Amino acid sequence: MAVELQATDSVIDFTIKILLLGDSGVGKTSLLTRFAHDSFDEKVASTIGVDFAVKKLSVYDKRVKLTVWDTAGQEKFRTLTSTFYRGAKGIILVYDVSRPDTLRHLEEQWMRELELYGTEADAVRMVVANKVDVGDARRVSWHEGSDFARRHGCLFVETSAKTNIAVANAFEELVLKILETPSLLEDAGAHSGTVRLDSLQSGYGVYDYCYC
Amino acid sequence: MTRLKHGKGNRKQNFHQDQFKEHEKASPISADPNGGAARRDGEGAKADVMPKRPMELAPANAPLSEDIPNRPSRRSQTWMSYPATLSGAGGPAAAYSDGFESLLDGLTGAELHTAKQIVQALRSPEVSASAARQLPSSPPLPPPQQQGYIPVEPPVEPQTAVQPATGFTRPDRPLSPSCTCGSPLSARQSLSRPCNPSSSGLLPKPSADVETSEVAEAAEADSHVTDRDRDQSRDRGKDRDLSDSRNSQRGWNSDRDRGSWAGDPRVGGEWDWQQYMHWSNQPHRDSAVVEVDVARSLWAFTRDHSEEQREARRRQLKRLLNAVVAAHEGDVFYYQGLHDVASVLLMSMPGAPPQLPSLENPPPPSLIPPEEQQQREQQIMSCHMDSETTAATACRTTVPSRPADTDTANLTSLIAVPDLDPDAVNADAARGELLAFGLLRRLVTTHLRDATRPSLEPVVQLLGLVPYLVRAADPVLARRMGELGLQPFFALSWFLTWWAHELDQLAHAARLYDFFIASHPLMPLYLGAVAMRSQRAALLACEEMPELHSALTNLKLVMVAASGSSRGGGDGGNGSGYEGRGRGRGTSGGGGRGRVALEILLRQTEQLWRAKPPHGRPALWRVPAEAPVDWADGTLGTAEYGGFRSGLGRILSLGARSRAALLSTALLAGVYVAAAMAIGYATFSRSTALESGQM
Repeated sequence: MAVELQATDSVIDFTIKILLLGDSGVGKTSLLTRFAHDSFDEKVASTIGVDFAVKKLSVYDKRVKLTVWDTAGQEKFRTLTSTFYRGAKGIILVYDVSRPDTLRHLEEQWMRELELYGTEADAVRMVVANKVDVGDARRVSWHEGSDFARRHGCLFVETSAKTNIAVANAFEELVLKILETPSLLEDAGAHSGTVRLDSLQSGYGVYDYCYC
Repeated sequence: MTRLKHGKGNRKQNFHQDQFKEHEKASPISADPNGGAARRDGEGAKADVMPKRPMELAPANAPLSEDIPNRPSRRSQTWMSYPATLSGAGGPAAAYSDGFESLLDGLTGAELHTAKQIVQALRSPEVSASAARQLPSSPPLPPPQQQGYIPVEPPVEPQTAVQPATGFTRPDRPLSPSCTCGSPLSARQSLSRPCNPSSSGLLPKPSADVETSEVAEAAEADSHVTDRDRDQSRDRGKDRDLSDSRNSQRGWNSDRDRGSWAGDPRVGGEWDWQQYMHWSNQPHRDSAVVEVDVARSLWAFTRDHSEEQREARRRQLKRLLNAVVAAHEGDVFYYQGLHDVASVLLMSMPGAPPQLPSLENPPPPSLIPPEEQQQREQQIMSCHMDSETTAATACRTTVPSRPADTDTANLTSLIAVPDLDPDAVNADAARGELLAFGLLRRLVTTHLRDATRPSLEPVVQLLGLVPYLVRAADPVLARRMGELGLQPFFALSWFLTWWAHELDQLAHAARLYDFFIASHPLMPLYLGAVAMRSQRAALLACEEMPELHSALTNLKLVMVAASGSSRGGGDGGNGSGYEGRGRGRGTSGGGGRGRVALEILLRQTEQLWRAKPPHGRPALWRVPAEAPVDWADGTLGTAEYGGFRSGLGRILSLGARSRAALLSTALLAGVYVAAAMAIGYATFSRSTALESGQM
């Protein structure tokens, strides 16, 4: 269904921005590394600020470039990460199945953040339950996760970046859903070949802070 | 190791003096419009404070300042040294043993003066002097602020080889904080009230707690004229009053200036292990974040550790982070990245993990009989002499020396009571942990203050300076960044972690930390700009914003530096005054290529800082609220950086105070204009009246 394109393939139909959200240590960076490079590094350090990964896919005969933004999970970084919500077509909310509080925070904090800062009303949301490889250490059941996802109108996938369970599927499903949503594609295809990140045009916040 | 430099101190000092004079004569920054004023200021200040020795760091009122020639290895002391394994076979480390030297080296005028004050505060000459006297191959200094260490040897007269323990009291209270640089602004504080090394040897008595401000003032005057070595009666409360009153006199922001000490009646002191453990067990807002951050930390710096050792280090790190947050009682908030800073500090401090094989798990020092303690010292030192091949040895040899006199047991017990915790049965490890704690505790309220507030908003604002710095270092690169619409968030970890997030060698990180501690808080960003310039080819090759962002967040400082050194680092165009010396120092040290290149990078950073100081004129230690006016030339702005405010916009966007000033000025101007019009009208009507009268 989804075939990875060569990095040099410059003809792109759509550029889609995806945002990874969730508490610290739930595995956002690992999910991204697994998806973008198909690798898992146990020694991955905390994300400071934001990181990017770009991956080009061919889905339904559409050449899609995904810009996945990996954000720091700590609440203190919200002032920073909130500037990255703009223009995000897909939101991936990650929690850790071995830490119930991370799911609770999705409900209490991250969803609220999303309502507050998200600019795309139709943005596709997906809840990802990561670290399902933990076995007995699991504390959040599939039902709890899927209930939460259903309540908030999100897709739901259980993954493990470590053992490579359903990571690619999760991203593919998200992209398919986005491609099925016409309102999200209106401005995504206009600038093929270049990354046009809307936030940079009007939400160029950093320079607004500088009094010079 | 540093011991190889024993005996070279005087010669080195002369060398630096020569360099200093050379700089005074022909300053490389003479082209800098700001340089002249700064140098003039600096000369004035120097004439006031340091009439005799230009390079002398100790203030005139410091009793030990006369002792400088008797401190042969003073310059060889550093509180954050390289482990032996990382510094090579002894020789290479020599040139890098003191990060402060390289900072002072080349500074002129006011900067030099201020930097010297800071360095003097950071160093602890007393300890280095006494340690050098006691142990010829003395290990590096403890962190400079660690006055708690100083009581391991009573304050002595310079010429006295063996100190009688008269007047020395055991501490049951924390040490006086008065001599710590508690804030970015306190360098200025230290100008007027220099950190008096002698007072750091004092142990406050718990009795005299309440002091009036007059008494405090009197005590302050007292402290400048009397030898406080013998005066054991200074208490912390007095010093606190003193610092508070001084702060308020100067109108400093008490939020910044109030260090970790003020107004905390139940501070048990940072050398109190029980208090430390109490703090480290306090839950706080970000406990869970600390947990997950620590769990994935230390990979880079513990590559030669076993899994148990790494876990032991992580337990230390977690305690450290929780304690530093709790110790400030809601004033300091953890951020992701502080664990990187803390890990560098922790790994640089003495104390091998408890599981290391030899000389391990000694009883707490207070339980060791003095003779045995002495033997152990000698054992450690001889071990150090024999082999420098393991990190364990390196860690162990950095244990601060303790005098082997009869008071050893008393003195060493000041530091830690580590038998309370199973992790810390190793007294050295506990001691190192406390040292790291003391240092981190300062940093979170000084250099890293803007990051430890409840929100990172201040840091985001600071990052707004990055494009300007890049532009100053490399205009082409800056234009490219503007074209791609790159926000400066890539520099976040540079500031938040002092590059520890990017570096994977403790030696490099320690070198940088030496540099940053002795520098302006924004210096990591300057280094970033210089590092970007040194890798500009790779960065300019990036075609898209995310690519460039990723390249920048993964900027390898040392690799960058290596390529920079091969090219002589001259592509910046304005580094001419520094490459030669940087290379000379590097080769004389015989260090590895990456190390040399790092030095060159630091030189260039200093140079950039001098060319584009964050203030109108070079003055250390003040975070700017805005970019200097003279940076704001027209070329930078609307095209590249999405909006450059007009002059009026600038003025109107200033604070209320400025706005009020503007309004009053406008009002005054209006009055003048009205008066001028009235006079003009009167004159005109008079002349016309005259004319009509004549007609």
